[in-house]
Amino acid sequence: MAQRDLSVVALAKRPKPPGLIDAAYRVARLSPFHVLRGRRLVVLSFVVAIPPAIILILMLLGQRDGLSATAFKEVFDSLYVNAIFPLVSLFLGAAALGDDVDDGTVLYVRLRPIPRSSMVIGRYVAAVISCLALFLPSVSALYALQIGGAGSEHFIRYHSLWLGGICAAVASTVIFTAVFQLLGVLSRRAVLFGIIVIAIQPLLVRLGGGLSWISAQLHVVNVLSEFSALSEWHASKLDALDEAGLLPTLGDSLWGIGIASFVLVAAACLIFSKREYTEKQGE
Amino acid sequence: MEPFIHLDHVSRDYGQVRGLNDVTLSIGKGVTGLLGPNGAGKSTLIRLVTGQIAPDIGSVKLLGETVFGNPRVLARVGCCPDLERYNDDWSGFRVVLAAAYLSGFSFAAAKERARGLLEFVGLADAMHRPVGSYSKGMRQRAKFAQALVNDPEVLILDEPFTGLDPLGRKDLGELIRAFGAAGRCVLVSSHILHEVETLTDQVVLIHHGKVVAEGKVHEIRSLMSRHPLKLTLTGHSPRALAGRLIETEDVVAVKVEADGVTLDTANAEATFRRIESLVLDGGMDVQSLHARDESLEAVFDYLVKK
Repeated sequence: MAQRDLSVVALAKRPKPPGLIDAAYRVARLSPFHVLRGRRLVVLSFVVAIPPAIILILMLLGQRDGLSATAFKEVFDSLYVNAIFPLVSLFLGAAALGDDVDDGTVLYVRLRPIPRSSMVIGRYVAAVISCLALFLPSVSALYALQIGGAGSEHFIRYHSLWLGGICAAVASTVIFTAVFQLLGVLSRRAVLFGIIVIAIQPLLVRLGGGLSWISAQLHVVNVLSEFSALSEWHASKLDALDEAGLLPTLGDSLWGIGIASFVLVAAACLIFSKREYTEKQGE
Repeated sequence: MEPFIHLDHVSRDYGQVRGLNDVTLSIGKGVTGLLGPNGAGKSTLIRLVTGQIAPDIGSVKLLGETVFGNPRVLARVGCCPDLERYNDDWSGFRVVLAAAYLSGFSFAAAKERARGLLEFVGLADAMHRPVGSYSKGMRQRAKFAQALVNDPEVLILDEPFTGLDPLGRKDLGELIRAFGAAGRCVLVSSHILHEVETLTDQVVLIHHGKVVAEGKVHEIRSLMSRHPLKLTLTGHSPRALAGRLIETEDVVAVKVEADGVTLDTANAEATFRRIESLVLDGGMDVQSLHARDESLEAVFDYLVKK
């Protein structure tokens, strides 16, 4: 140590510990892309680049069949809604706290005078931001290539598709990140359990009746359909529900996603606050 | 006057393993050494005192308040945990900045605080380098700086000398003593009696999860004298180092290893002083210094049997 003068350490007034929301903001601000680094950043960037890359390759090969609103819907539905959105949310949501718990560095944050829940909320916000930082450019690039590639008039005419895609990305990220962050707090096998959660989504939609409302994917598709003003989006998945009069409204889906995410994050807060994390137990 | 730290009949289990067993303890101002061999329960006690874990039975109070899940208390406490890891791609500056910002400083004030403290601990030139590139001693300094951000009334240091080079040990020792002399409470855990002896004469001995003795170091020192202490030094010139150390009167055995030297000494204090002077005056290269706890283990066995 260069000097022994404790006046450097002394404070005229010790700062007041931040409250829950202030502390959550501070956690998020310190680590907006905490989970998006290293090899994970490379792999996930590659994953979200796949759909636009496929369309680009088709364009370069002169295949113009894939350049239409219908084709956009198919690519979006099969790749983003079913796979990319939930999978990326899984890896980033589970890592939001899981990384720190696994390597023990969670201790440094837990030694600070902040409510423990603030770490869960802050890291949740950071994980959502990280997901959207990957999704939004990818969806926009797909739209620009697939719709814009069919002609500039299409680019303007079908702008609601882009809006629907963005809203679906936000809705999917908000709910799935909450699910997977909770799994990350509960278990070190969060990725395994998360894959099961993703795999059963289409099955839940097909459950029929009110039970299908517990599928996050149903609400994401509903948001996509409503915001993109493309009614045929319902066709493959939601017709049966529509006929039975059980199709959720946009309001139902937005409220459902909001309330479910709130409950899941609150559960993660509760568990994380009570749980003890020790690196070398028994020592 | 109320003690800074008070444990009242505290027990804590980890499944079938008893980490701490019916410990009642009060710690006041000044430096107190928490001594015990590895696995004695020191880290459990420190985790309880810093609110990382809750007791199964009994109560733990810091500055008169229950500590578990209580940010108000943590705002007045600094802790240097026995944890090697950081986010290695973060710089030392970012680590301390984060600690200050999460303690309630504004972002600008946190930056200022981080800069000041890193200069204080001697990391001015390295503060913007990734922690992953730091030596063990530099990591310890960064860890110490983050513990000081809130100007703590109670400072808890878990094995703070681990891996430090002789100069770093001397510096940190001076700083800890200065904190104690300033009327703050400093609790230092160690498994090396000599380390604690250089800081304070007040110690708590813990073994198998129980406090086996509290008191003055010299009482334990007399028990220690019959057990030689084993030291391991690493450096770039182990043979030269061994040559100089064997000349030291109390060194009873020296063994040259690939990257350092292992020695047995009958007088730890004299040997530590000798090593310090070899580094400071003799220009010898010593990268790290570790003391093993066989001797303390022997003393504890003796105390427990007694």
